Amino acid sequence: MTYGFQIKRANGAIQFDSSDVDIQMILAVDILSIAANQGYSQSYLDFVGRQLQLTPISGAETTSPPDGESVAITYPGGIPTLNIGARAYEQHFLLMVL
Amino acid sequence: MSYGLEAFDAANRLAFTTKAPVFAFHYIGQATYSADFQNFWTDYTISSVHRPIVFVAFPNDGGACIGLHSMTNLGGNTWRIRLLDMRFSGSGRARPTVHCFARLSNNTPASPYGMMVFDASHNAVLDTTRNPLVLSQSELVAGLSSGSLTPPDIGAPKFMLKSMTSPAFHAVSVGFGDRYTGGTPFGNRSRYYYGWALSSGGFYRQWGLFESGLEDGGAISFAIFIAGEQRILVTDMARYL
Repeated sequence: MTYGFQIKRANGAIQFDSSDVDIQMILAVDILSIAANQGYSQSYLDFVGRQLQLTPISGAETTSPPDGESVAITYPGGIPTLNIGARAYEQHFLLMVL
Repeated sequence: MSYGLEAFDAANRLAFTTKAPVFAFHYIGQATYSADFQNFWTDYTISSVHRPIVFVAFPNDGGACIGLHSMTNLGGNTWRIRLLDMRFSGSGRARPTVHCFARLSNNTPASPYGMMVFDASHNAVLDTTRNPLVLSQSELVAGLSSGSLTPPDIGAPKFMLKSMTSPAFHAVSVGFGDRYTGGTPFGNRSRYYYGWALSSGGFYRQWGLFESGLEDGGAISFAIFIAGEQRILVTDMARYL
């Protein structure tokens, strides 16, 4: 590497390399627990200009269902804003910084 | 930021930060096989202070239809992870391996060498001695909404894996679709679950027939197969094991 930093394991294997765009440390902003029949809405002022990504972490759920249960991350004025529509069952999502 | 530490990669993505509430996940181990359940389900358990996130390593033989169905706290630190594994029952083929990561639960390093990062509340958010999760690949898989009378074919892979030793996949949630074929006065209803499969370096969405039974479907033949957009995250377990 010519810039940045590396973290290596004791056996010499690269654990992390900040110059390698193909290797990314996952950074979670939050684990969201959405109760049944409740939605969620939140703006993340600390992460203006950054992209957030939502993934399901506990099973049969998707982050963008086409059946009316809405999930959206928008960036009005560069502010990541998350809206999760109410769902029938308690669900859990991982929100992370990309 | 007014204090602390931030690092960015070559694509200007945040690599890590001391700014709360951002934290990194760390490897906590492999979930233990517990039981098979109604032929198509397999349960695993793991102990974790915090809700774990799951990465599944697939047998690489193209026959799988595997996905995460649910994760349930059984009380205390015990978590049950239920997978759809439609090809295992009676087959004698290899089971998937369930790897788990969680946020740090203590501020003590696992060895005297490495680096720890703390947030403003003095909680460890990154500890290189405890194998922080590093992604090797991140792919967006488009959703689908199909009125076809047959399940969408496995078709082309959703993406091809980059070169890595031992891939494991996050956000492999299951979904389902129903197929109704005509008959008077009764029609046949079949339920298909979809999971995921790995074959020759390609990652696929794969449908499998779950159950078929009679239902009053009249003379109408139709089917609904729906899947939401999902981002699949991939890590190379060779980094941790």
